[in-house]
Amino acid sequence: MEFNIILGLGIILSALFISAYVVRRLRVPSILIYIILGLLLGAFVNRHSEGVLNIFSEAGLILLFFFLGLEFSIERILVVARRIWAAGIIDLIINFGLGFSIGYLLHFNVISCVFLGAITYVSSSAVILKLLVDLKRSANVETEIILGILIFEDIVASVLLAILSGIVGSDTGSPAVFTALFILAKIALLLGASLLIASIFASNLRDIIDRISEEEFLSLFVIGSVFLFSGFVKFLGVSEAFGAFLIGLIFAESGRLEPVERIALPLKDMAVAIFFFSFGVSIEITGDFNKLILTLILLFFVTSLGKIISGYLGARLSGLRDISSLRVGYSMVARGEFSIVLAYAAPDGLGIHTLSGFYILFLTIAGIISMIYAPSLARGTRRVFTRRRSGL
Amino acid sequence: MKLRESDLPGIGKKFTLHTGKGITISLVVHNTGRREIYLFPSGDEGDALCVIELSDEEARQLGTLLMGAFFTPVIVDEDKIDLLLKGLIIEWIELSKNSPASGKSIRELAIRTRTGASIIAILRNEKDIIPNPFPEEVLKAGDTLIAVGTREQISGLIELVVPRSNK
Repeated sequence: MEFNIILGLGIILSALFISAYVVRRLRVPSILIYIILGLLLGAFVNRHSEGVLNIFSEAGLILLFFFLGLEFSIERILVVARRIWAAGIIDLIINFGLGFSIGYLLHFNVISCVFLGAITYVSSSAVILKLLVDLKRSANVETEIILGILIFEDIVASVLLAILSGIVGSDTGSPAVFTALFILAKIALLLGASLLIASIFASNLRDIIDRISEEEFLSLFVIGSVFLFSGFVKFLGVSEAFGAFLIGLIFAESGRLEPVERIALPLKDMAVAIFFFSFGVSIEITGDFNKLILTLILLFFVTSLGKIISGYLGARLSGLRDISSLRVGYSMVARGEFSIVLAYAAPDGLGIHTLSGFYILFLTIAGIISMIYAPSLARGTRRVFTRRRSGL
Repeated sequence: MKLRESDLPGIGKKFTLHTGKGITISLVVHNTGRREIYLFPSGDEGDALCVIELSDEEARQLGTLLMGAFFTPVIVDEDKIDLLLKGLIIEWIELSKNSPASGKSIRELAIRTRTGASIIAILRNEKDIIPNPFPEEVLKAGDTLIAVGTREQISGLIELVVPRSNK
């Protein structure tokens, strides 16, 4: 009997819906639910439906980055870059460094170490943003710094993703350093070209969107341009997600976000759910179980602490006082969607998928708890340190 | 009074106001249109003392009240708010029983010359509308005057028609 793909897809989407519906009152972000569901149902996903799932998760990845690009205008990037660069660089050095070093200590190969560094570096914008709003902290002084660092991370991580997937994708015999430099040059060129396109054609794009904003083929224009551009960037040997980020930037310059978001959002939400589900499916516990546990425990404690310290230092440098800076630190622990996207780019067979899958599950939950209790944790930490200082 | 505007990427915009009494008020306008007003104690670090959540519509209503329009008509449409923002106020003023203006004509009160505000209509007995009243028109207790002018002109008019004891 032929496999019924529509039925398979229907079952998966309905299962995703039901589980998201059931947990919607809890503070657990829906992406965690999608991953766990993928992990549980992975055994039932057969080769036939996998092909369809791959198309959707690819689309989900691209649309996720398209929306990320839409959030940024060139002006906003410059403002953030001026205000937050020191905090951003400290964050990058400490957290990428810690992830990389743990991998190195545990004898992972170099490419896996770079992936671990990238995965442990990026905090989850989605989780942190949602909690800031839910916990009524949007107006707090530390929130501006937190949001600034998150934006800095998203930009750096987009570039990191482009470099990493470029290195993985190229199977030339030349050393990795040259490959990396070559890809970096391509990224810089693409970024420059996109900014140029954005500034030259912003008004043309605005006119087009204005003219067709009520037509049913607006979706064809938007999704078509996104896939065309991302596909072209992929053809050039750079990550399609980075391409989607760039076309998002271009669309953002047109100043016509509302019709674009309205048309692309439903497809994005569905495809992103499938993306995280597929990631859950790709997790499988094989290989050295003890090493997996050891790595997880080390990564969990060291990189949580890393974020708290880097957040504190960055906020202090940006002019916040002790207690607010500690709150920044405790609010940055959650990792999430971006780490998964980075892990997704890792080649199979390194065990990065499985490792990072569990890592993200634990750190999202730990991050949520640490953020909810950030005020008391910050007060407690300061008390411990002032007592120690006065005891000397 | 210091007003500071800042961007909250992914959330919306924040406006912070330090009042003369050392309180910090932050207004967050969410991208969804929802507003939140946060009240911080003087040091302004840490969590807010209280938060007021308003829908887009509620926020606009409260905004017109804060701007000094004591009486709100049934419908506040966007055009009126635009006028308010440009410094022009359309004000509804109800005359109480002991208003010093009741029983006097508009000419007698010399409203235009003394305050600068113009009465563009009078609502009488809740159903009669007298548009563009003549200067001879005698005001009665219970009338609602619809007046137009700048904020200062309107407050001058209120001074004139609202009895002292009510203020």
